[in-house]
Amino acid sequence: MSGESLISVKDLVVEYTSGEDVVHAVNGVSFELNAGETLGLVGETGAGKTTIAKSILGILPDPPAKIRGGEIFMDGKNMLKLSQKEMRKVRGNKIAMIFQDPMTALNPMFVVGDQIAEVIRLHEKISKAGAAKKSMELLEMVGIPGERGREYPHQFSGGMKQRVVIAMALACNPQVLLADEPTTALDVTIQAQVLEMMMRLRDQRGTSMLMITHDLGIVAEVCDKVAVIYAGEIVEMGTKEHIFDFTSHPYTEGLFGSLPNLNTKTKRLKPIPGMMPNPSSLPAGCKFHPRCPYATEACKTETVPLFETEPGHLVRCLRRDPRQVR
Amino acid sequence: MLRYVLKRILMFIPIILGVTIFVFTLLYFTPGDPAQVILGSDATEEELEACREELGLNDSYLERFARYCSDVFLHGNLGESYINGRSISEEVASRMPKTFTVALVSVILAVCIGMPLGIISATNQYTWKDNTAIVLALLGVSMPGFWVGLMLSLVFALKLGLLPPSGWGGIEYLILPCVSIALSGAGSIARQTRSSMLEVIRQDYITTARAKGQTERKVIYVHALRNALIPIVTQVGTMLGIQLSGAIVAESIFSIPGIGTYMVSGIKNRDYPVVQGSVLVVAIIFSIVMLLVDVAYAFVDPRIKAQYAAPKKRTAKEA
Amino acid sequence: MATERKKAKKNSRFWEVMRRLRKNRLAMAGLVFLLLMILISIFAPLIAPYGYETQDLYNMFALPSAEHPFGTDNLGRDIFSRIIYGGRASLTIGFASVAVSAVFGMTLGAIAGYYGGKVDMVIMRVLDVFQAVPAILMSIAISATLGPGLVNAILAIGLSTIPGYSRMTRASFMSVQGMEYIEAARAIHCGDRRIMLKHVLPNAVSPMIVQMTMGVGSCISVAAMLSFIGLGVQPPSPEWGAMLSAGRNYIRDYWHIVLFPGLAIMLTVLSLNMLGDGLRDALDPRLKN
Repeated sequence: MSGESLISVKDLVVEYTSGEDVVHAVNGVSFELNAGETLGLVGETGAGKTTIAKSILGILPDPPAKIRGGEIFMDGKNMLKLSQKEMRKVRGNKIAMIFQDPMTALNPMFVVGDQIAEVIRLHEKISKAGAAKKSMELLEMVGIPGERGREYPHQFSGGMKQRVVIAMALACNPQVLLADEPTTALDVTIQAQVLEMMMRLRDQRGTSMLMITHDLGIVAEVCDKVAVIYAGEIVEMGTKEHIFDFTSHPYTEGLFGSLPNLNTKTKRLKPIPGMMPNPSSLPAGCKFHPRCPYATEACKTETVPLFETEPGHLVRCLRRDPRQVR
Repeated sequence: MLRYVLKRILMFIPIILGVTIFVFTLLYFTPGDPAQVILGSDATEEELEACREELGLNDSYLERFARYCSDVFLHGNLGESYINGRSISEEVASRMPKTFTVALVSVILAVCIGMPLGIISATNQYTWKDNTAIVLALLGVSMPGFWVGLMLSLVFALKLGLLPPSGWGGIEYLILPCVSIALSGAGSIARQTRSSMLEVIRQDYITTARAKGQTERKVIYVHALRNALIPIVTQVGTMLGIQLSGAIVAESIFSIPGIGTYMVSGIKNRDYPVVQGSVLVVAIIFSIVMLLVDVAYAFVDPRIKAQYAAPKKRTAKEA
Repeated sequence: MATERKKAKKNSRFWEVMRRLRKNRLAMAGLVFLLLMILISIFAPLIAPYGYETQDLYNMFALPSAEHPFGTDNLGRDIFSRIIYGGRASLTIGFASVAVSAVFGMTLGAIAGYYGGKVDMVIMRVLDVFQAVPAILMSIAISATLGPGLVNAILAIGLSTIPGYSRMTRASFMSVQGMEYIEAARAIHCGDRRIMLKHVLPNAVSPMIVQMTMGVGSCISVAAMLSFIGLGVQPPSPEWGAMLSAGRNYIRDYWHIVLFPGLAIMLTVLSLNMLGDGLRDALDPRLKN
């Protein structure tokens, strides 16, 4: 399945400034996405997942967002150092993104066919008619009659719009697909359809995928590896099997605890107590300690590194410190 | 689409009728005796009475209104001036193009200055460019047009002698009056453009366009502007009305022989048919412009077009 | 307007808005300048160095000097003093005509929005007709009918700007129609008038305040224009537009006669616009960013 590293993010730090407040959205995130692999970024709303995806694509709104540090490599090139012109050749071509809300992701003023053709014409040497034909084929590919390309977004339902967005993202056969909660805004019945179609197309084309979600069900279905994000940091990362079977971080445990498990007899769901810390004033020490049932004095002060508990399984928790295994 | 246009045209008729009633009534109740105005203060009562009878002033309101409507709409006759007895229709017809030119040119100027200013402001939010643009736009909307006209004519015509201070002729005669009333329009278009661009730039589909690798220029001028245009189009239409009235004042500063000078002289001489006719014609032209704007609106926004298009076959879409 | 019970709630919101407004430097500058103008107008006799009709025929067309900060006009009257007195007329017209149009406009809009149906249709069609005539032209027409004078100018300007307020009020009535709390109020037999005043109108307040603030500015501007073309306030009463009208014949040689009254109009309108912008941002923080 997995090949060589396609995208590697190293120590990414992103801040938002609003007035005098500085919001620490992403605080030193590193991960690798390998060819043909799907990595799930899991976490609550506001954990910084979307910011990471937008940083990779270089479309963070600046201001207020600012990349303060780190590197993002693709094909051995640091993409943060690329010029706008070089970056534009990457966007939509090598890396494409699917946005959360299909209702607002399409421009209401243009027919959908033109919106798909736009991305083709930007990256391929192709005639107008050729691009139009290709956009029809793409629509057919996602299960929409090609002639509906002449219709405007308001004439489509939410699920159909998301299919259009997916067709648009896949138009130039990108190596990497950033999917930002692609099914969250859809009806539950449509979610499965869309997800299944995405997986089919991904497998057909061998596209790597960064799947951003807060839904562990989707992770179980779609992902090979998982990175759990909390307050702008990766708190646990590993293969899907590792994360599901050997859950190591209390936050990940909490995420599972707040899911109903049909295999064991659970009387009551265990939600994680408390709220995500305000990202403009993060707690010292382990950022999860105010909500952690195992927190000790040390957790409140020490900066916690990622510990490798097993090859490829990283955990940011003092309880997993190999020097003081308890 | 055709249905929409027809519907708008049908709505246009009662409005014109309403405006006619309004203007007629307003001047019907105007104090003062037209006969006195026509004949001067040394006319005898008999002369006055004869004059009133001739003008039909002794008839009832309804009779007079019916006569006025039939004159205006069936014969295109706006009556005669009390002062010199000349046909108002002819006078208006020869003057209207000048007023309309001044108004139209100033709207175009306002758009050409205001929209770029608003776009620069919105795309550089919170920078010095934005702040400068905001202040310029604020100054623009706050300056009374007729005062700007006076000051411009002082500087560019009277002191520097670059442009003619008054009259009507080539393009050089247009510059000062148009600029003087365009500035406030430019200010308000800039403000409208800024706020609607800011609103649109936040939208997801703009991020989508960027994510496709589209150039920033096209993101702004194709994807964002097209959406931001809807409220701006409406405003530009309304502005033509504002500029038509602005032109009335500018004309009196720059002595342009348009509707404005005609109307102002009508006001000064208590020559009410002149005022009546001028107001009516300007209002009708304004209504036609608003009609065109509404139609343009439908062309700009597919969602509005869709509302009036033939009913769709496909009603049940995917769940 | 508010009952005792509502006062506490209203007050906290009021202070919240004030706090946000205080942070906005442009808006505060506008507010300060406006208050200054109001005070100057009220205490005009104490502040003005000369009377507004005091002529000094030996000193006509004097350029600005220590004696006459803005110079004198064609009759040797001190322009500075006349601008100070002129503020009375201009500000009065500005505030009064907004009051006229807001009262009529809101009433019409509330009736249309609340009762809907035929009533709404009739009112809206009448307003359509009203709006078919550009507002400034409308005020010229009404003013020509009513004749010159301060009160007539107020009526002319006030009446011509009614539709904007009506549409705004109607829109906020429409937007709350059918909402649960209106139904609840009906269910406990609140009278129509009570529902309108206590439950619906407060929703319309924020945009209305902004509209009215800026409206005062544009009314001042229109009033000046009316007197400029010979309607509205007539010379020799000091009014900024009338001063411009009287001075325009001397503009070639005596620029100061025209410069200062115009600046007075501009700065007053500017301060109202800055305050209006600030109020809009303070009342609806969602719109910022």
